[in-house]
Amino acid sequence: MLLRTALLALTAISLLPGLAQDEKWRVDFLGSYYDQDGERSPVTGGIGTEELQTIGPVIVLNYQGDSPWSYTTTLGVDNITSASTDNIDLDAAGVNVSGASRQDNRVFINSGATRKVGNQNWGVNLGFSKEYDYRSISAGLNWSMDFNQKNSTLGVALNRYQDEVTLYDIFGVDQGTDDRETTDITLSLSQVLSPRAIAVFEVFVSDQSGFLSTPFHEVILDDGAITTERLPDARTRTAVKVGLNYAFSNNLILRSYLRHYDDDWGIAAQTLELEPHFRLPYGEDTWIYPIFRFHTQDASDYWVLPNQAPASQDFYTADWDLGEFDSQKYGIGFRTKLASRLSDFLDVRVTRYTRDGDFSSFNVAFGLGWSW
Amino acid sequence: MKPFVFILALIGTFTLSCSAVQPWQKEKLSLSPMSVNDCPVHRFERNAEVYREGAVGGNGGKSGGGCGCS
Repeated sequence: MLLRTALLALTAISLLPGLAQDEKWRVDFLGSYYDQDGERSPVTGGIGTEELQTIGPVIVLNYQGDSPWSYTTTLGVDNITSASTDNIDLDAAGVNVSGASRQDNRVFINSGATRKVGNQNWGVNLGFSKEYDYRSISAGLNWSMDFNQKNSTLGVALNRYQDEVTLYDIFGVDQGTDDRETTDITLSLSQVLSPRAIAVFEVFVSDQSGFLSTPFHEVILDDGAITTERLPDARTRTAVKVGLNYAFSNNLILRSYLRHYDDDWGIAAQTLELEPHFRLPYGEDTWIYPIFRFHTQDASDYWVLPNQAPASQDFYTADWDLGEFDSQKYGIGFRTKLASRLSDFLDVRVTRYTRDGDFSSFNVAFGLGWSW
Repeated sequence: MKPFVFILALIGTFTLSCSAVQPWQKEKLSLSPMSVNDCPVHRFERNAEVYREGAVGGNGGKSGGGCGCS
């Protein structure tokens, strides 16, 4: 059904009259190393290690043909080493029976086509991802239009995810599969405010249904018994983001946004991100910038601390991702255009993230690209 | 719901009150950090943080499709 809808959309877009473009290829290579640690893993009821490392190479291939069409394919792999998921597989005495930290791979591919029609862009995309306990198929449509002498751009994006969860329970036993469906809608408007400022407004609504718990997440009840996390089978999320980029001069630009989030599980959150970019006197386009991000969120109605929830409670989770916390991210970024055969540009971001309760992570991400 | 209504009103006010900036006035707007889209490396980095916070979405992050997290 999802595939048929996407193909129908692609056919409809191809019938629109378009504008010819020059032919162009582009390849981007992205890589990252992510390392986190904490002592509140939901895999062990909110009290165990959250140690995890991920290495993730991604290749993005873009083709702009001698037609109004352009095509993008993203292919990536995440190699994950997780101490917490390893703890699913414990014997009756609570001893880890699977040895060293668990290794897992997640592979994903997303392909999209965009057609330019006058001052409008119409696009369609398909995606697939697979990891040991999760399979996802997605399809999406997007549309945008420039108006007001290209000072305003209105956009709409619709994405649907059809996912399948393999139900490994808290003892590591496969209990079959269940489905999860997600529909996301994003409305956006970017608006030039002055020769120095541009703003972006975004409204996001997401509707989820199906199996929304994580079957191997534990909860320690008030009587000390250990059971499986239980969460409702529906969730609606809404978020509004206001971003502002302001050029104080040709050498100092502030990128910023403020985001407000709400959902019907009781979480409300606010996020502020600031990245003042300073131009360096090397090359034609070289920037260095500190990174600041501040996030605060209320707990879900279903979130409980260990040894708190009575067995009679309908829903409960010990997942701190759904808890009340403040988090901060600090880091530094660097971007330069290169006149080199090695790459057209170099992008690097190094960040450290900390959250209440001793959780912290370190991330290095970089990008290189070639076009011809 | 009130914050959303307020934001939508703000958007309408901004859009209607802005006079068009002419192409020859857009030198600063064309500098790379002024792009309204985050660079691919930034989006890539965000992939990790959105799954460590239950408040996912509305920021280029996705709410389905698995994550490789645990």
